[in-house]
Amino acid sequence: MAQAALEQEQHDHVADTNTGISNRKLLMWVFLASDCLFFGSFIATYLVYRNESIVGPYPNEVLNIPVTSVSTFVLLMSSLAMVLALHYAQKDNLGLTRFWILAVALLGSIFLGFQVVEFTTFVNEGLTIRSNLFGTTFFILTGFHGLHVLIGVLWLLGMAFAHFKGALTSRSVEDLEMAGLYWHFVDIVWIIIFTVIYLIGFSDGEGIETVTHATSIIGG
Amino acid sequence: MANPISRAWRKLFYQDGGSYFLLPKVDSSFSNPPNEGPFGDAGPPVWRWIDRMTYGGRHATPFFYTVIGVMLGLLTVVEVYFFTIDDFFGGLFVTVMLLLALLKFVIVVAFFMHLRFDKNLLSLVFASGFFIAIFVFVIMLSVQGQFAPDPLIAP
Repeated sequence: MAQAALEQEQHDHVADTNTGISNRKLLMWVFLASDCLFFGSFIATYLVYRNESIVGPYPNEVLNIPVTSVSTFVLLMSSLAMVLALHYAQKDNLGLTRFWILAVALLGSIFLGFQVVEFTTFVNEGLTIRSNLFGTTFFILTGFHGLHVLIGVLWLLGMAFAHFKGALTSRSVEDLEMAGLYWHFVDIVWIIIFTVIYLIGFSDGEGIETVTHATSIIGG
Repeated sequence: MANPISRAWRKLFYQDGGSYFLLPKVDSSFSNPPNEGPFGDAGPPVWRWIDRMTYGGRHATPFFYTVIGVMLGLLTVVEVYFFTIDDFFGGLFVTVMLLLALLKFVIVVAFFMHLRFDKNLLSLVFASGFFIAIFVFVIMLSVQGQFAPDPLIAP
């Protein structure tokens, strides 16, 4: 009878709080809700200044859709790895938990690598944060997203190497759940960014003759 | 079942199908499973199918998550495919792209972030932030004249 009650309690995951939800988990969701406003503001700013750049480079000249599609796929698969890590943590399988956490960190690092290559290419092609409105809004938005990914990677690596030295505890499983929620949120933000900036915004600047900042000053 | 395909489908994914992949089991007499939703069994068949796949379970199986992951990957491929075709949807391109992104967004939030299986309060908290963000988003674009028609040019 006691065993059945325990299993039922584990099944329902009822925390000893007013809401029946762990306070940490509730706080994480409140944080994610506030982060919606954070990224929503940047995306809105990007759209407000869309097609307002006076000088190039324009999106259709610099964005590389095939490469970004691959990096998007990598980030989506990292979310799958994250949910598998949490699943095995809840099954008390320390080995597979650590394996999938490291897989998430690896995939996140690959995504960051793609972003570094992309940023470097853009700078070489003349698009910097100060080049035009597209450059400013693009680098601010994707840069802050990249920063979120970096924080997530460091968080997960820290968990993999420091937190899970011993056996999995309910506390460490909840820690992983928090990290997982954060990671999935980073993923869904990128889903929106990929669609809005890369797929929809790619055609911005089509038909406009490229005028670089330098030539506009000279008057060329 | 009507045919071997649907029988295999049920066997693979349904709670009462023999649990090939050890989907979470629940007591069939449990009349009011948590978070069944405000509309009960109403809704499109696919929603009832998802309900059955994860009925009453807080967490599904690795296979279930992999199916969701593959779906997300395929949706991304579809998005990029639509992007590569010139003028495929004409004026509806932006709408179709946003709907596909929204579908991926909802899938991740519902299944990977477990909102579908968690307490409704968490859905309410997240939805509040999301919709306030959308509200601010729309107000900001409206103030900046993004939704205004192009100004008429005097002849």
